[in-house]
Amino acid sequence: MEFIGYFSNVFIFENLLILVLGTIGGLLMGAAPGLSPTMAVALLIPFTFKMSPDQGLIMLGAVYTATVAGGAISAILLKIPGAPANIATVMDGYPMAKSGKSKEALHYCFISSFIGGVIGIIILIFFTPILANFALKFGPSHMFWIAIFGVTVIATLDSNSIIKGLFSGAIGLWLATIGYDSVLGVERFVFNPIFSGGINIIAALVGLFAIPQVLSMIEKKQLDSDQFQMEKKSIVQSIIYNLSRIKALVVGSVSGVIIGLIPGAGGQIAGLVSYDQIKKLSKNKENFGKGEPDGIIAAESANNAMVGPSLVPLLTLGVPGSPTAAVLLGGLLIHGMFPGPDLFTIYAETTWTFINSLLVAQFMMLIFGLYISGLAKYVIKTPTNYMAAAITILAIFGTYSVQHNFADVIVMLFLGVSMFFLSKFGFTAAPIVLGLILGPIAETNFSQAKIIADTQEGIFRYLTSGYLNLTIITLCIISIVYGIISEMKRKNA
Amino acid sequence: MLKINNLTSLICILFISILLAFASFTGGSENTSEAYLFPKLITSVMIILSSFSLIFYFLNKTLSVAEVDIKKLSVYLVSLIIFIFLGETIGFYLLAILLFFINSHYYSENKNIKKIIQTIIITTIFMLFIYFLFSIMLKVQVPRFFLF
Repeated sequence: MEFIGYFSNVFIFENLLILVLGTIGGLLMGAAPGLSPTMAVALLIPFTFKMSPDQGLIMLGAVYTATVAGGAISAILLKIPGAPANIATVMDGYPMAKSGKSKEALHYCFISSFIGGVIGIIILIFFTPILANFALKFGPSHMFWIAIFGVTVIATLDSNSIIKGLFSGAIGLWLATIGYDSVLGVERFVFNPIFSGGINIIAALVGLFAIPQVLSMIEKKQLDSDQFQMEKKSIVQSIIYNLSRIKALVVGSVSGVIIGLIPGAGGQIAGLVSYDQIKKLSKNKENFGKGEPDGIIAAESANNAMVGPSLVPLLTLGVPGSPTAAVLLGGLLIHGMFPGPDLFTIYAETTWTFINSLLVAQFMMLIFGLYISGLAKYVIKTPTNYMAAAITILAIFGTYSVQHNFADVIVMLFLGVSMFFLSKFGFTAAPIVLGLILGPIAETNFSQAKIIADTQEGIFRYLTSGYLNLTIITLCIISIVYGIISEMKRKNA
Repeated sequence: MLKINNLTSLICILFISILLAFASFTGGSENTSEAYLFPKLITSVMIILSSFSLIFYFLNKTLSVAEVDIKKLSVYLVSLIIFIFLGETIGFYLLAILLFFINSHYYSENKNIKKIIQTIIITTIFMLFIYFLFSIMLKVQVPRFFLF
């Protein structure tokens, strides 16, 4: 119950203000088609660099939570999911809006997101310290394999092709070797002095997530489609109805929690799995896809219930539970905080303040979400041309502000445009980013393991002996095999 | 419309892997070769993966073509290139104003006078927001040209 002692930190005026701004901003960003939670968090990381670790993490956590929920606004009103996590919400949300029940659908979305979110954060509060203590047993060889596991998991789950996913992860790992070697201090692959410091993680994050999205927005020219009249609907009535849909809430929250705990899974899987489950369990199967509220309730409670648990493997082992959590890892690292037991000892105050703020953010998301529902139609009408230009300017200024280094802007734009072309062939950004983030961890631990192994029985034996090493290697193999099976199923379908 | 088939992309990827492997295996001296061990490992994996991609392509022979509408993207891409080459000389604010206005106007559906005035107003408001956020609040000293 250590977390209760740090609750007051969340209610310090500055922190509360950041939480409110992060929630409102997150809801609006989530509502804007094309601005996914991953991109929103990536764009905000440069700003948090200037803040204290507490404030920076509160901001990122609030935006993460609110964008996932806010993404349902455009899913319901425009049939364009604001984020991949809201794909399942479209199926019944849009038909409800078409039949004049858009406000009712938005109410269900925010109430169920709140319920799922609170359950998810409670899991995060009670599971994380237990797993963090277990991480104390990890040595260099285990940490090396954990880093590789992180890359393989995200490579298999965030990509349509296992080979392309793993290749993307390997590109990230190689990019991380540019600059000085952390153990021997040797300069590597520095073709120009501007790269002697290596590839800046924030520049890479912003470039890989924001620029391809902008290019794709321009290419597809997403425009506002049908607009609906919003009818009046009492919030109290919506809350009562929502609470009466216990089956949908339980199915959504439980699916979200379980999927969130699986590293790399992400909100879209949580939303789709819970939607599928509630459809199978429902007596009104034929209503699904035509505006069934249970479909929205299950999908939205699942994608927000996933947020808390997706941070459990991130905060304890450094293995992100979702692509957005992978970006959040970058946010932790720029404040000098490395996942593991230290977060709950040395950085206990910051960590618990962050986790508690996520809980408070759920309440904020509910309050502002319900009221923003009425204003959402103005946000989603923002034309693509303004959106694309604004994101680019923010990405340029945000990247430059981190180190006052123009080379970072060049790297950001180069990686962003390259990623756009790579994405045309099925490559995804998340494995590259994770490779870049986990690369130094993998390499440092590999080098340390080699130094130890040279005095013993050799590196191969050292890396593959002991039950912990074998367990993590088995997990890596399982994740790759799972990726291969999923790919084969997709091809046969 | 730029059309690239997956075979071309796979060959490019194999070529990049070989290039990076070459840099990793030939980099460093005898004393510093230990520092290149991890990159050697990674690039070897990259060559194996890209070779597998090619093998699977020839086994399945599923040719797919990715289309990139270069014409549509050209104005945006050119404005990014200009920013890269002139960003430090001309200054961030001046170039950002031009980048915002030109892209907003070019990618707008209607290009009448009313729309141009609207774009000018939005550009001004947005750039004032950027100035307030970065120069006043975050005290970021970006490259400038005279006043901007």
